[in-house]
Amino acid sequence: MWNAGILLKADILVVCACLVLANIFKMPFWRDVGLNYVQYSQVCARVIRACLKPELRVEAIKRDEKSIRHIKWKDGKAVKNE
Amino acid sequence: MLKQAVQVCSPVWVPNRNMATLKDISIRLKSVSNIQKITKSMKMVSAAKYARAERDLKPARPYGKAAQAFYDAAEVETSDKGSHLIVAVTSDRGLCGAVHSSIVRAIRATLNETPAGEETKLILIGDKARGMLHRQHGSKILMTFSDVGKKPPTFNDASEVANQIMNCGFDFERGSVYYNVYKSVVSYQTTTLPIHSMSAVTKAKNMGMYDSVDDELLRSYSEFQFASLIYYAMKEAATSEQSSRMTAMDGASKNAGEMIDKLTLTYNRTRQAVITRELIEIISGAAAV
Repeated sequence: MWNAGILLKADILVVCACLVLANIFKMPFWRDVGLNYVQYSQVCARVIRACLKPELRVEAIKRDEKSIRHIKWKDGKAVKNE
Repeated sequence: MLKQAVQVCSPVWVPNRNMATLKDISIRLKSVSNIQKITKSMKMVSAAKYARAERDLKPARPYGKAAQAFYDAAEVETSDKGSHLIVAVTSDRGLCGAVHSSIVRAIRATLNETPAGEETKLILIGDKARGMLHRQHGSKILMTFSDVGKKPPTFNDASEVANQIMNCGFDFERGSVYYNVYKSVVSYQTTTLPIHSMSAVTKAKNMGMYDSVDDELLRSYSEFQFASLIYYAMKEAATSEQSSRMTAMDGASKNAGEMIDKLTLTYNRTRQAVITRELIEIISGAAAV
């Protein structure tokens, strides 16, 4: 869904819109989009990492890695991920 | 010369017993010392990984402690009935003593105690827990996570686990995370952490002591705390795994060393016996002439 390591304009838009709207209406709008707090803060973290100065950004983007994979199970068998 | 003569004369080729054992022993000796080389280098690798894991563990501990302290201060009640979600924190790699099997043993004990009517679901992080539990309790597995343990766990990994659990749709009344707490280089302890359901948190007795907490805030905070707890558990588990692997490989190298000593002794003894026998054969042959 969110492309790791690359600053997406969509990311910034989401965060800015959320911050502005949350301040006006006292309601987190990312919840309506179907994100939970963890996903929302991941997007925020990615935006902040991408905003860093280039020499710091290289290190910070390394921390953005995710190696774990999930496999859903049903009735005692692994189901292939969609 | 003599040996060749015997071989030519006998209709069926029978290996000279002593010579063969000597060769067997030397082959065995070689393979054991190769194994020792491998275990020694594995120990070195895990020592380096352990040093890093222990360094990373210190800043990770407050995540877990803070989450627990929040729930403790609010006096969130943990029920011991109702649908149960069990999260097992292991990894993909073996050769590290009883780290993974002690987690699985604890989970098996809990599953056996659970009354028949209650629904229990398993979330297994790491291939080891899956390998040990899928045959007996396959129908209870909700989700597994693989590719754990190659790299040190990051908060993103923990977030992925937390997200998947929150989105899995299983409505649990109580939950527990099974993981190993790192104590020292030579010891770890299998422990459980409670996971509180959203309804239990809102109903908490002492929640009033926190200022200006509305439902939305509480929900967001619980979600974050859940990811933090998983992160903390994964870090603890990774450190105890590396330390345990270090100890296991150290033991293996020592055992291999002992075996090498014994085999060298036997090898030398056999060699001398062979020499003595050959001498006797030559001397008695000469005497016969």
